[in-house]
Amino acid sequence: MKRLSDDELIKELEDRFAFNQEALKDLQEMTKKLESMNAKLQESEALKSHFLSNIRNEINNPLTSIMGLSQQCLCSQTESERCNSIAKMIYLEAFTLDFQLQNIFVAAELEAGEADPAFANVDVSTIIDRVVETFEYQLGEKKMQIKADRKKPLSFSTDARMVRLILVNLLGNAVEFAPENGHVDVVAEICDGALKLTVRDDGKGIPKEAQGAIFDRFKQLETGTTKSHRGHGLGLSIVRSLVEMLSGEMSFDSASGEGCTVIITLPPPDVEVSDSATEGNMFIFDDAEQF
Amino acid sequence: MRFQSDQNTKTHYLFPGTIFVNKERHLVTTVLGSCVAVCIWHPGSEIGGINHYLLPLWNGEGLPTPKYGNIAIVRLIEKVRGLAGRGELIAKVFGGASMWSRSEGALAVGERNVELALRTLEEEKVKIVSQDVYGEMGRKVIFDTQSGSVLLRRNPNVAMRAKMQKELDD
Repeated sequence: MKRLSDDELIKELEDRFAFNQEALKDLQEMTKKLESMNAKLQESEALKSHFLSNIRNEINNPLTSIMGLSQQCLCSQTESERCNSIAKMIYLEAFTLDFQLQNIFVAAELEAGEADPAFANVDVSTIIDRVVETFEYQLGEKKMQIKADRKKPLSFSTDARMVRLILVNLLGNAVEFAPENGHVDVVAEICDGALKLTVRDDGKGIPKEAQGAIFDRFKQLETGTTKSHRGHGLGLSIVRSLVEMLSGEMSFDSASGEGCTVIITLPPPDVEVSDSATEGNMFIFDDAEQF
Repeated sequence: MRFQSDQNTKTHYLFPGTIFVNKERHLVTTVLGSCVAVCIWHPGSEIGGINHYLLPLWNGEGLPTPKYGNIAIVRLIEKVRGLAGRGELIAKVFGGASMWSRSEGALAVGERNVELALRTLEEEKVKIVSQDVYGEMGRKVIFDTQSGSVLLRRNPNVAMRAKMQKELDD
């Protein structure tokens, strides 16, 4: 065995001590991260149970209103003008219910890993038009407009259903949170082969300190029975998962009182995807191994 | 040969972050880098399923989707059990390459993905009958859901290709 001088010994000990110190620091950092993750998971679980216990209200209430309102309409004495305004209320209730149910089902599908993207050449401008159409009534009520800026047709290879769901949720949020007479802009363009979707509103924006939480499921910045916006807080977490599914990126820019801009970039599907359509080639690789 | 396909064999391309389980025979293809795919097969009923996850643990952000290993493996086992019923399950694990030559600690996603698979399968008492993990190669996996067999092809990553090219040039 090699004999060490005192100096060398001290140096070796110091090195080891420094190494241990470093390891301890890493460990402490890791523990801190785990603790915060644990807190977050617990919160997410609590929010989920809260959601489940509330789902009765969230689904039953709109249905009860729809039934009550349509019953009123059915009374023969009701004048046609009153009937008209009742029909509007019924439509709004049904729209919200449909919107929420759709989101719940999509979230369940994503969580089950059953949402496979089906890539095809789609005309994005038509998807945008269809989505804007669905908000026509709300836009009229709030005297606001959605301005769509895109080429027509705008062809891109992607999953039409997922893009539609992304847009429905982003525009739904924009319309919900924009003020009366407000403006919402949608821009769709192809940049460097990728599809770039921008949705901008002039609502009250998202305060910086709350921005970390907006993609968490069941999380809404305003909670409790007095909250002024409906919904379950699933929308943005769904958008995020869908964007990830399409290997895209998502960024947003917002500050309190300054509206909100969401930018989504979806790359064209990679080669492996189109490869999947012709799978007859699987035996040509002679170095394939069997397990 | 156990690995046969004809025109009637159904195929499925497994996207990252999804799960595939089916009663009918399917050849499921997926391409892995640092991701991991776990194949679960029920010999009794000849029903199998496969997942493809990107990260080991869900951190509470977004939705708990099978993009995360801790969600994907448990859900896959549940799904196979749902179709196949009771009885022993076997597992095969692939992927988890380190796609950058220097990846240590928290950056070693591939390694952490594999470790999570081994640990979770042990906890779930599913025996791992074969595996091809770690390394620096991408992998293409084709899983036969009926026979449970897997055909695997390794794919050198960009850095390795460059190195191999250089060796050829020299």
